Amino acid sequence: MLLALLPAALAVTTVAVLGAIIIGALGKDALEVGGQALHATLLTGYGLSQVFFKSTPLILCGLAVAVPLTAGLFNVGGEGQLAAGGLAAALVAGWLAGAGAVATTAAVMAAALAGGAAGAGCGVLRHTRGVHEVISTIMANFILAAGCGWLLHAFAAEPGTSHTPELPADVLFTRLGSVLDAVQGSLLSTSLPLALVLAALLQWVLWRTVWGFELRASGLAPRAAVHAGIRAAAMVVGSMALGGALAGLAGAHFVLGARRFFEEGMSGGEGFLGIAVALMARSQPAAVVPAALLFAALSQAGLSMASHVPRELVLVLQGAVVLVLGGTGPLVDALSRRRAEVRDG
Amino acid sequence: MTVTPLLEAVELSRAYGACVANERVSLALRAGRIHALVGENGAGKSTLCRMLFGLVRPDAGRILVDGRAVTLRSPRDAMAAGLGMVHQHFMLVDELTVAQNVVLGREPRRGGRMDLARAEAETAELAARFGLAVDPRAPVGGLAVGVQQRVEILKALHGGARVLLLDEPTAVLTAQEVDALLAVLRRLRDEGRAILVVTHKLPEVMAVSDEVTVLRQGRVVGRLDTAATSAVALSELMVGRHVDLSRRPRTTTPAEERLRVEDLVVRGPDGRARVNGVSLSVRAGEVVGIAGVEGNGQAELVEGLCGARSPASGRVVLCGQDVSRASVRRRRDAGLCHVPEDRLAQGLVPAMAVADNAVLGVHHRAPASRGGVLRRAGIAAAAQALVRAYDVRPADPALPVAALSGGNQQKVLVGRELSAGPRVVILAQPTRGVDVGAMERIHAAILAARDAGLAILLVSAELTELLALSDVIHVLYRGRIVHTVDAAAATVESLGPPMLGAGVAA
Ligand SMILES: Nc1ncnc2c1ncn2[C@@H]1O[C@H](COP(=O)(O)OP(=O)(O)OP(=O)(O)O)[C@@H](O)[C@H]1O
Ligand SMILES: [Mg+2]
Repeated sequence: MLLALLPAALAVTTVAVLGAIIIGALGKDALEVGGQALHATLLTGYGLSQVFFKSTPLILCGLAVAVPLTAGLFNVGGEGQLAAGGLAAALVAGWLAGAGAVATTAAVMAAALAGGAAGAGCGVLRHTRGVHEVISTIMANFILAAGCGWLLHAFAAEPGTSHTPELPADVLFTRLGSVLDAVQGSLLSTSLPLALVLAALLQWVLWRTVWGFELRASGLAPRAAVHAGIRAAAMVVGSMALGGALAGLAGAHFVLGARRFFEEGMSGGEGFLGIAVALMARSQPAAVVPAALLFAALSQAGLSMASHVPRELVLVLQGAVVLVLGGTGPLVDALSRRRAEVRDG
Repeated sequence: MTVTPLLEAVELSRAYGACVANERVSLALRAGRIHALVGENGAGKSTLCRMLFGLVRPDAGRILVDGRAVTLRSPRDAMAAGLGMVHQHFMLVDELTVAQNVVLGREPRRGGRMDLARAEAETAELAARFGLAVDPRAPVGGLAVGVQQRVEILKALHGGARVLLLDEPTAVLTAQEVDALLAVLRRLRDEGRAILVVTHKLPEVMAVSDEVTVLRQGRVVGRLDTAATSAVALSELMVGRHVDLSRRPRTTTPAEERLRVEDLVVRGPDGRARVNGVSLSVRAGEVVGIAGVEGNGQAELVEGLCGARSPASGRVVLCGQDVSRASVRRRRDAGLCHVPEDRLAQGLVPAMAVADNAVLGVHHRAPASRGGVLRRAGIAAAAQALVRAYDVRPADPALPVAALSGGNQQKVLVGRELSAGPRVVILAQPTRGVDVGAMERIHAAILAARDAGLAILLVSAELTELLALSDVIHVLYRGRIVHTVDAAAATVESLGPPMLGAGVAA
């Protein structure tokens, strides 16, 4: 159990040490700049609400990787699935403008469906044609980015702009500030509780349901799973569809909870950061939440330091976290193996 | 003896958590001697081999090579010290060819690249020298287990090892293959190598070894000269009681037909028919045995019957219901359970707990789950019952299956399938790698299931096992049944020729 926390601890340490070194090298007082950033990020209401706001799409995109990974599949198509979901949400919400919560619900479902279809397609290719999902989801990222861009400009864009028309307030996610005084004025909306509930739900699904059991078994030993009557097709296509749907929901978050419209390049790479989040969480849905919060805090801290240090610092630190994670995964495995050595008989 | 042993273990100890796998184990391997290592499942045989080969670090004790203490940090060190090992579970790369696997780690090179032609020539030469028939160019993944075993042995021999450690090399071989292997071992011994061989088959120990060490719960409980002992004495030393594996014919008459197979054709991955028109019938309360040299369609027959591979033509009728096209799940739910031959790849999920493995395949119904939700209490109860009934050790359902010894893994697998409430059960190599005590227990369970009215199809490479358990034996040769006998009238000798295709028009 403690071992599971090791990557997170190392990631935080890396950020602190590396950040301090770089800030110091830039001729600033690392302690002061870092202390200020930490304070602004974690100890002010605004900073904290921004962290949670930014973590929302990261949680969804992290889950989008974690679920297929449980079945042994690597979904790197979050970015494309997110775009497909975002466009679907914008279109449906636009059509149903004025219908209030009904429109929101329909738009959310459309986003999940669009992202899910994109994921499922790659799952089908994997199962029937043996096309590796890493290849197909990467290609799908390009196809979906281009396809959504074309649809947008051909049919859906507000004339003279490169985004869909701004959606009326009634179809958007409800701002949490309207019901909770503590977060009044923040950007937080119902997409945050939605993401949190989904993480909890998926944790339960993976570890407490028959479907989750089958997913884990086929991820760990695909042939044994087949002999046990588990249908490989259902696992491959199902987990990719669910992963895609979760990334699609991240698209809905951008459209209905942040931007109010769909535009090209809407996400800031959340689809890809989701991979790092899922790896850090070691594919545990519940652990995706703290991992996403860490990445969100990093990005928010970077913003709050913007007057002192270049923006790229955050990118460097994020990259370092990913590298540390890549290095500690095997380390943790090796350490746990020291106890239960992988045996040959 | 005054000659310095080539390899010597001095008071080696190794614990896994609370489980002491080896406790002050000493053992000396001398040039020109074959040393057998026997003991129950989980006695620590593999652990000892793995320490000697640098795969596991001893907690205490020393390893001497030519009388000098060495520290083996990895198999590479061990190979450099002149050791070679054949693992209990294969360590082969499926995607590579036989030759590539054999030379792996010490590839012949030319101009910085691997010299494939030379690798193939070396493999062929080695194979011919030891009479181990393999095709150097065949990809390993597609080979039958018996052939893969030969590849493992070639791999260990390729480095020119002076000391060979063989962990259950005969577990997956047929009688003929075993004889060939034992001949190879004798030849290697006569060349002056030192050999350690782990096996559960005591007749082999008697046939080939010069001395025997018996392990029990991690400790050496006996060191004997083979000439001065007997199989019966050894088995009693191993399990601490008398073991009876004799034939127990059925007392009931078989009832209605439960499984009928008509003209079944199953193709392998390459499209060739591996099962070529097999028809057979299994009735309630009888055991039908399938004999044959490994690779004559047994694996495909089992896969075709259980639904893991869909048959090209023919019919599989289960209790009057045609299930030829049904999924594995539907066949299982209709009462057709099976123990696949490759327990670690097909039967169990090694990384999952014993408890999870105990319900794998029946996890979608009560008591393991209800309404799609797992019931932990139901799973725990099923696991407890299985661990107790089959004496799985250590008796901890929370342990991953990978942490059990090979024989205990097999007990989990066989126990699970027999307790799934089947009407027909297909057993492929049900006692592969289990100790005589456990074999007795598994045999008893099979016979109890038979007497309770189960229909059993038993596929085994062990003729003695087939003869002890079956009522009827079919011999499979090149995907066809070429010979059928009443088991009571059959002998090991009478089954040999048809297994090799004698009397079959080519
Ligand atoms: N990685 C591990 N983690 C925990 N326990 C282990 C591990 N490896 C071995 N053990 C335990 O050590 C003991 C000895 O195991 P070992 O594999 O050496 O037995 P074995 O004599 O080779 O048995 P078998 O005949 O079944 O192959 C067993 O009780 C086993 O459960
Ligand atoms: Mg062993």
